[in-house]
Amino acid sequence: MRLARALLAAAALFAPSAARAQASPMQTAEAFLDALRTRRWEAAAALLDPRDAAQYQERELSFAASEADRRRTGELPADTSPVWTMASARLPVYDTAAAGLFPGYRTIGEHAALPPTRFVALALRAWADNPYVELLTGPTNRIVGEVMEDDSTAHVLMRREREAWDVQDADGPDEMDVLSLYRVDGRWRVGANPDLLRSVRELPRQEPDGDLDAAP
Amino acid sequence: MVTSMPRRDLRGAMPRLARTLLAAAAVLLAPAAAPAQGSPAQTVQALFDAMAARQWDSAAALFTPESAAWYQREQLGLNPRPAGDDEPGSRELRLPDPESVTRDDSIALGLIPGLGPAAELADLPPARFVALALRVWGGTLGFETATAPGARTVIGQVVENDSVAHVLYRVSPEAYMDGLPSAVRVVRLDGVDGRWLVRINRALFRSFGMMELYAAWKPPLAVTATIEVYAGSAAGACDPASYREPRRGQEDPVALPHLAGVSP
Repeated sequence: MRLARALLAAAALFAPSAARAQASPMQTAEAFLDALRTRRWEAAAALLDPRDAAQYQERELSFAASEADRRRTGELPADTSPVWTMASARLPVYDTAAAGLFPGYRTIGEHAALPPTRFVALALRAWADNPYVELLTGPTNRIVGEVMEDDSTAHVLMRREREAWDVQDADGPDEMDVLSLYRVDGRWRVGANPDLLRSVRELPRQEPDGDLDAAP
Repeated sequence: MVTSMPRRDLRGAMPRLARTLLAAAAVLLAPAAAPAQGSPAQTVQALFDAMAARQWDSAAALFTPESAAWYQREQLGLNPRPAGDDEPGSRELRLPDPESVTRDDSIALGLIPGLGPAAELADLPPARFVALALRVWGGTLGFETATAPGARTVIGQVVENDSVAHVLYRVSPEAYMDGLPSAVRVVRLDGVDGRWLVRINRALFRSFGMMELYAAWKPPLAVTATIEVYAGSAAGACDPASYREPRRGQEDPVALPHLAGVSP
C-alpha cells in the first residue's frame, strides 16, 4: 500500500502538467501579441475567440452580399468602394461579388467556405498596417497583470509607454490597454474588437496569396 | 511598558467590561476607518458610489491632489499647450485676457455658480474646483446616465507596487459615453500618504461624458444642462444664494452678469 500511495503521489505531481499546458490568460495574450508582432497571422488568428472569428466572417460577407445586391440593382452607385465595385461590375450576381477580396478566393461562397480562423488570418494580413495592432505590439508595451472576472472571462492589462508627454499632462507617461480573454473549450482565447478586426470593406487591394505565417 | 507585556498578561489585567467596550469600539470604528485605507478597487467603488449619490465633495476627495490641480489648470487654460496645438479652444479655455473674451468663454467663466473671474477659480483648492465641476456636469443627461447606480461594475485590480495600481471596471451598455469598442475600462490609482487615490485623466472623465467645461453648454449636451443662475451685478459678483441645481430640458440662454456689455 505504501508503494501504491507513493506511486499515486508521484502521479499527482505529474497530473498538474496537463493544467500547466493550458496557458494562462497572460500567457495567451503574450503569445497573441508575439504572433502579431512577428506577423504570424495564422498563429494570431488561432488565438482569437473562434466565436468572434465566425461572427466577423459572417458579418463581413453578409455586408458584401448586400452591397453587391444594391449595386446590381442600381441602388448604390458602382464606384464608391473599389473592392466591391470591381466585383459587382465584373460579375452579375452577388454570389460572386466578393471576387478580389482575398487573393485566390473569387466568390462570396468561396470566402464563406473558409474556416473562420483562416478568414481572420487573411483579414489580419490585409490589415498588417492596422494602427491598433501597431500600438498593441509596440516595443514599449508590456503586460503588467491580469484580472479574473469569472471562470470564463479574464482581462490582461498592458502598459504602453507614450512616445511624448508633458510633465503637466495628467495622463502621465503611460497608457493602459486591456485585452479581454474568454475560456473556450478549456482554453483562453483573445476577444476581438472592431479596432483589431477592422472591416474588410475598406481593404486595400491584396497581393497574391502566400504563406500567412512566413517569416517577416 | 504595557506594550511589552505578553498578551496573556495584558488580557488578564484588563477588566472584562473594559475589554468588551474596547471590542465594541473596534467594531464600531472599523467601518469608518476602512474606506480611507481601502484597496484600489474599494476606492474606485467609493468614487462611483459618491458620483451616483451626487456627493461631489466626497467624490472629489478621492482624486489625487496632483491630478485635481492638473484638471483645474487645464480647465482654466493655465497648462502649457502641447507643441503643435495651435487651434484656439481645442483643448482648454484661455480666458485671462478680458479683452479677448468671447461669449462661449464668458459662459464658461460663469459656469461655476457664485464665482466669476478665472482668477477666483484658480484660487480654489483643486479638490473644491473638481467638486464644483462635477456638480456642473451633474446637470447633464449623459452624466446622470453614466453615473447611475449599476452603470459601472468594478471587476478587479492590478497592484504594480506601493504607488501604482489599476482598477478595471465594466460599463453597462446604457452608460457608454466615450464610444470605445470595449465595455471594460481601466483607471489608474496612485498611493498617496498611505491611501489609494484615483488619478484624473481625460479618458476617465470622458468615460463619464465629461469633456472641457465649456462643452457642457454646447449642443447636444447644452440643452440638458442649463443652469438658472446669475442674478448678480454687472460687476460679475454672482450670488451663490441664487444658484439652483441644474435642470434638464431648459434651453433658455444663460445670462452672465459679469459679462454685461459683451456682445454675444
